[in-house]
Amino acid sequence: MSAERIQSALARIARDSALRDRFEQAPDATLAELGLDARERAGMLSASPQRLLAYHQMVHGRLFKAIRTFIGGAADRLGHDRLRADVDAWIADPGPKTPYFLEIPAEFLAWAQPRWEADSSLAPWVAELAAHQVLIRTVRNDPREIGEPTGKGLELDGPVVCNGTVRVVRYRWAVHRLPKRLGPEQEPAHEPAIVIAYRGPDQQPSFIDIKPRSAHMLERLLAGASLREALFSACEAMGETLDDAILSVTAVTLADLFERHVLLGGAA
Amino acid sequence: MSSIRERLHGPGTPTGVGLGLRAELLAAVHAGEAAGKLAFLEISPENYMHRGGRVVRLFEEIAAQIPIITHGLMMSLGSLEPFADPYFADLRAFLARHGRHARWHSDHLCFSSDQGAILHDLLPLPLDEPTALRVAGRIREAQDRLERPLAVENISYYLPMGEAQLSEAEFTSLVCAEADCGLLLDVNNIYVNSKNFGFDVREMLAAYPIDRVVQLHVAGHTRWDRFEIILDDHGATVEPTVHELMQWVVERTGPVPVLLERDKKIPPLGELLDEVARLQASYDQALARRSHQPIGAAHVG
Repeated sequence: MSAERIQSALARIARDSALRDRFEQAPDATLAELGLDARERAGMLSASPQRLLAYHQMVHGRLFKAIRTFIGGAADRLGHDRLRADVDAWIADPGPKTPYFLEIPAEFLAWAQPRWEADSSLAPWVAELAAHQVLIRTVRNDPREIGEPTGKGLELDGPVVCNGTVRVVRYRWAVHRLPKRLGPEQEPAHEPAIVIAYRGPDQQPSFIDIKPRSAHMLERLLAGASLREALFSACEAMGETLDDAILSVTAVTLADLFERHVLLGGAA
Repeated sequence: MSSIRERLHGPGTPTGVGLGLRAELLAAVHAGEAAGKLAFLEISPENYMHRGGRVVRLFEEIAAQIPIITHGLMMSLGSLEPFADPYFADLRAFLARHGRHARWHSDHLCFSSDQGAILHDLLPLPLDEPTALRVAGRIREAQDRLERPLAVENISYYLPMGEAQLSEAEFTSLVCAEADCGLLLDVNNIYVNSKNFGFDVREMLAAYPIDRVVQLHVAGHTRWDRFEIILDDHGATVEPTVHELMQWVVERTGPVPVLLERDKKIPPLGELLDEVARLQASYDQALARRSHQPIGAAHVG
């Protein structure tokens, strides 16, 4: 008896919905197609072919439920059948790679988002909404440390210590401003937004809008640049020349980011 | 030579009835509602690895107060693919922090991966000698990687994987002997399997290597009408027969940790603690019987 063939047959039917359907129609023939000999097939079918279908249901049901929960309102707009079909296809190939269950929706979304964005039959913002919903939980569970204020002032040529969970996200639609529960006709404003996503000392995820120059500056600071480098780089990205007005606005922005626990101070 | 249970159980090993720590219970346990009512909490490291935030903070504060036993989900001991180095590195680091109350870590006698995809379910193995020897080799490797002994759990399964050449008890016995590992004996799983395959639960239980038991699991189950099976979903209270099976084992092992698993339709903590108390009473009865008479019979009466 080949354990490898038998394990592979169960796994493939558990993963692949088309194969599962073929198995339901012709159990013995499908197992033969998968390389099992007569005794192996008889053994596997001795209880009932339904038992094998139960494994398909368990695998797909658990993964679908997690994904649907994580993508929130986007699941309603996609519709059950479309989401189910996409999750089924993803499980068949490539399938989850992470051993951590919480990371599965993000893995699925990395596969699904380009497909949804390319599909003109879907609302153009659905993929972005799903990504935002997943990001909420990603930020909530981010393993990186938030960090504590350093107590040191900023130096122009020194690095700035940042909250470890901070990231800058760019949206084409204001999906972050939608309520958790979408009304049936509710849509996000078609306004590009740049958003800081992070987890605060209260352990809750926060999303705050940030202007383009400040976003560029923050991204450079997150990459380890000094304040001087980050500020000049941001002005260059905006096609601006650093002047007193920009410095004044920047000072206010930095103070605000400290207040919000996005920035933690100068390096020790 | 000492048994594996004697080797793995130490002065700090919690014995008696504990509870699986689920997300729904975190706040209540953290608030102290289970204080003094549980021998231990069991957790799956995969739920806390690669993770930060409030849930992890709550868990770490709980772990400082209540003994923790770890029970994994994703080792996929029966997989045909090599172990993943990053997973074992993460798990080893986690166990270094949280594995001080039990000298062993446990996971399931199953496979969970296929061609690089991880299916997040416990898929059954063919019950034959070549598979048992292969899995035993992987258990030895896993123990070396973790530098920690393992206990393996017998699973519930719903279809025969080919033509079974060994019973589940014979298969498990061979695996444990070849790997020299402990056994996390899930008596509800044997009961569920007996219902789904029509064998005598007590005869099968008696054929398991009881001398290797380091921990027990008990749980409830429900009927899945769509597929006409009894499903090991941990979604109901533990049946009286499962209490009896647990008692039969404890009469032979002496004190061991016994975990109540509840994963579906989770009631309020108070209700679960009532069930823990009932299980503890059954467990204590078994220990009392053990201390009053010799145990030798191979039958579960």
